[in-house]
Amino acid sequence: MELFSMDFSTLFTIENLIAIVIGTLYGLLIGALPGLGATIGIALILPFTYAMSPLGAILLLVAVYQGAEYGGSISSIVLGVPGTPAATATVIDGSVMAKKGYPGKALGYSLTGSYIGGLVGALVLMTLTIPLSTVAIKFGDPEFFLLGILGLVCVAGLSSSDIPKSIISVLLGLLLGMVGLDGFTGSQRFTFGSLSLLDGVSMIALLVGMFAVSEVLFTLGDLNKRYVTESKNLKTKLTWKEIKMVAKEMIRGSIIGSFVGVLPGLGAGPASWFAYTEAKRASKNPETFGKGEPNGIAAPEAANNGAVGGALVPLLTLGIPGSPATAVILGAFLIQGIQPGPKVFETHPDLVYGIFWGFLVATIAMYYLGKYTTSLWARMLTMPNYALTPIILIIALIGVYASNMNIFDVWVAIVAGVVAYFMKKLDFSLPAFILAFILGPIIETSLRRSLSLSDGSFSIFFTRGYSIVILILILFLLGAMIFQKRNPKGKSKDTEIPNL
Amino acid sequence: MSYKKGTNVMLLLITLVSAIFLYQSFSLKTLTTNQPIGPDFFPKVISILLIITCIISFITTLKKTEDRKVELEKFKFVIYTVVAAIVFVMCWQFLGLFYVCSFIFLFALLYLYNNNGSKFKKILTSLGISLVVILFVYAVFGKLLNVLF
Amino acid sequence: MGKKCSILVITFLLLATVLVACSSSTKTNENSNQSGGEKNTSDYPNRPITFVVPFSAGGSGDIMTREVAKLAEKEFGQTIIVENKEGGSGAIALNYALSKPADGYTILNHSSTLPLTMASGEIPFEAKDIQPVATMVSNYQVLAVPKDSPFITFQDFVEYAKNNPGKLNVVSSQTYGTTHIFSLKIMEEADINFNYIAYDGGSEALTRILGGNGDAITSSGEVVQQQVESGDLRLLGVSSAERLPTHPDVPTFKELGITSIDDELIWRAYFVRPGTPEEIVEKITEVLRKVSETPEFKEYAKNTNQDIYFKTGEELTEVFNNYYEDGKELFESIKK
Repeated sequence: MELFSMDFSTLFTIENLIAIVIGTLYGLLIGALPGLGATIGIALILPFTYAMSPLGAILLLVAVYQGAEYGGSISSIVLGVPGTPAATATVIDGSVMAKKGYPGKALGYSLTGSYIGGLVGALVLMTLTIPLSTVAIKFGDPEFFLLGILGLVCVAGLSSSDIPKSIISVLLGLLLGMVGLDGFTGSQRFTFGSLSLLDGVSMIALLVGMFAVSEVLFTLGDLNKRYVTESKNLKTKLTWKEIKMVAKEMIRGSIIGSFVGVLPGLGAGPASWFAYTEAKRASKNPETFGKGEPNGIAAPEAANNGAVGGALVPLLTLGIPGSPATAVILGAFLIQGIQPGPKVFETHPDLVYGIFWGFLVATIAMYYLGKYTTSLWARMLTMPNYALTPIILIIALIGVYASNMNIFDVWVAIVAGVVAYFMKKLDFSLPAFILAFILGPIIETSLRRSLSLSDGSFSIFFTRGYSIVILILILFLLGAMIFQKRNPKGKSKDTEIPNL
Repeated sequence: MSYKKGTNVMLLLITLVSAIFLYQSFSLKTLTTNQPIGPDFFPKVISILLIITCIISFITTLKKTEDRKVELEKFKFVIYTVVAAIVFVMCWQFLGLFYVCSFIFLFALLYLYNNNGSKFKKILTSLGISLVVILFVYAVFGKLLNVLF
Repeated sequence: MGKKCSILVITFLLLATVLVACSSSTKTNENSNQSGGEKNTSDYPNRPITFVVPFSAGGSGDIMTREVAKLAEKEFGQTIIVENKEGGSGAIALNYALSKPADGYTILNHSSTLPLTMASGEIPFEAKDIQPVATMVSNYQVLAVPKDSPFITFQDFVEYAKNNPGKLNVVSSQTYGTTHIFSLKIMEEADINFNYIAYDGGSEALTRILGGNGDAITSSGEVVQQQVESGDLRLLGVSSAERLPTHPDVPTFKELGITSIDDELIWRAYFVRPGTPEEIVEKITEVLRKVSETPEFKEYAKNTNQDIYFKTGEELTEVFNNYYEDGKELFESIKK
């Protein structure tokens, strides 16, 4: 097997190892800063790779990517501020568990989940690259439309007890997702003459506003509280028993993440939500979700790190970036004079297999470096609320600005925060809103393209193999939900997510 | 705040927003070459659905007999914080002195929230924390990430 | 306690002084910016220059600008700051660059898409709002089909389209982009009609064509280059004026009778605000010319599958205006 026949001495050079360590540490930091994520982190460090060897350069960026996807969960858990869509699902249970006084445990679940996710992603990348990319490429617009619908059905499974209100949340998210230039006709939709709205409402501004700013306003009720009083609760160590408890969902999340990550355009955000809803659906005690359930942290975290390996699949085999972060990595390849794509396995086999193995090494590095650095972040929770709250607020606003260098986004975050404060108080569902906002454009554009392809006929959704598979999945989920509703025993399962 | 009243106000606001979106989507093109549905189709469908669900939710809220009080803890602080944030971002946007503005903003909030100890001690701790945080911001965002504020 | 307090007070005082000093120095800087623009054009540049990129960091425009900035720093003898102002189809960056004084210290990067988005009315700016300085690189465009497609030549494609109007699905990137104009010109001159299906970028369109979700693709040469080499895609025609040295068997569109497609290229260029003093524009042009001739820049262009394309002055203004006028005319015709 070619995978093992590579010359490992080219991988374990000082330069490559330093690249992996620096990349991971930097990724952890960038990920942990609210508003900044893998994409921005990779873009910012890109110029430093120009002078490096191709393998070292790519490994540095891949390590940043892996580290940042895990790092995102640090601010989600410790501060309740999701920096990226991929880390939003982690907020639900992660920040609750941290605020119960166990930030170390919460970070431990997220780190272990990320590690397993990263490993599964790496294995998928190493063994299934070619077959996966041939499947992924068959996914056309009809499939993306149905996957979007599948996502919305998942949200319905998440939502609160007040059904009209969760439907309103979904519709509102879809509506807001339509602001901006319409990609097909160039019409400006609902931009109200603002240039900053031409590309739509900034997702990061909305995320930080809805989760961080509103959370800050919530904590004002309890300013003298200190979340963590015992420093032993800062340790990220998990016992075997604890790991075994979340093992199943971690594996499941990793697999979901790796496969969704392969599909260009979907990526880590939806993947982590799919994993979260699946973990909740499969759980024997779904009512514990939203109250600090370990599976609610481990599953989405496994998924978003699994998606990293997945996103590298179409990049390496087809030269097609599966996510914004891999688009920047593609740039790094080009600068090195290498075009990833169908021929790269023949022209640069040592590089490709070096990336495969190096990616595995980077994942292991992320686990160990993460283990020793993250409890530093958790330490923030030993501060009393009156000091912690203003710090969270200002870092969140600065993060929003830094993500796009546009002060308009900071205003969006403040408005979103105030609106979300009242929405939360009145039991509207913020996760449903956010996921609909993310999926809305995917659903709309792929529907319009599908109908364009089929000359307006809806049969395009029923006549394609993969479409039918996804349709059956949607019907299955809908059926399961209706069955749960009808079943009196399942009624207690319909608990709402507190404070979300 | 009454839960029912709050819900109704919120529903009214959402209905208003969707009405604006609906109104605006009538000025969008309906058909373009080679495209069975235009840019107006989705906004129209969604805003109409939104208005309908708002009405349904309005009715179900009315039907509910029991009402409860929604706790708005320390609402005064919420208002202070939002106003302070607005003033901060305005200063930042129009005066441009980012580090000075954020230092003052942070200091003001820290001082306002803290009700432990003497006035002097409060000022000192607030100053100290603000200093550390702003230096952190300067080092990480300003220097390491080259963000121009 | 007392000691701690005094330390805190001293640090604070120190910091306050530093902050005040910093803020006042930036203020004086700003003042000099405004006045410095009009006079003293001879000592340009005497302070750092900003390159504004309308795309996110890591995009192709950004990568080129960072390469140019690195090389131009030596020529200018000044630091160059690259600022990313993405969003609004380039309107945010454009608006930002136009809000700065016309003194040559703010240089905007954009591509051939700029005149087209202006022409389509997507962004509220017109051709007269910006002054092109120089283009740096270009890329030809292609019409390609999958390897198992029944179309061997462009004539096969046209014939099928004539017999089945509106049946062919051609995937591409962006509405009102360079490839859209290119596709519209093919339709107009060959007198055919196909479905132009726009994706968010060339690579997304490429995925669809490789997955069998489309009949043909129009894109820049760099997007499909790998697949053409590996044989997964077949070129039917290229937009350059001459046949490509790498694919001498593929005809140009001019040869195929589509005369309006003559050197229809995608290019990347630099712009300044109109009203910038003549000498300064000349200085920038000279620096960019030198950059385009360096071996490092040639290496960059080769690695990214682009060609050096240095056009300035009236020649460039004409190219820019042609794109703008073509866009106006063609987009008007499909908007009806």
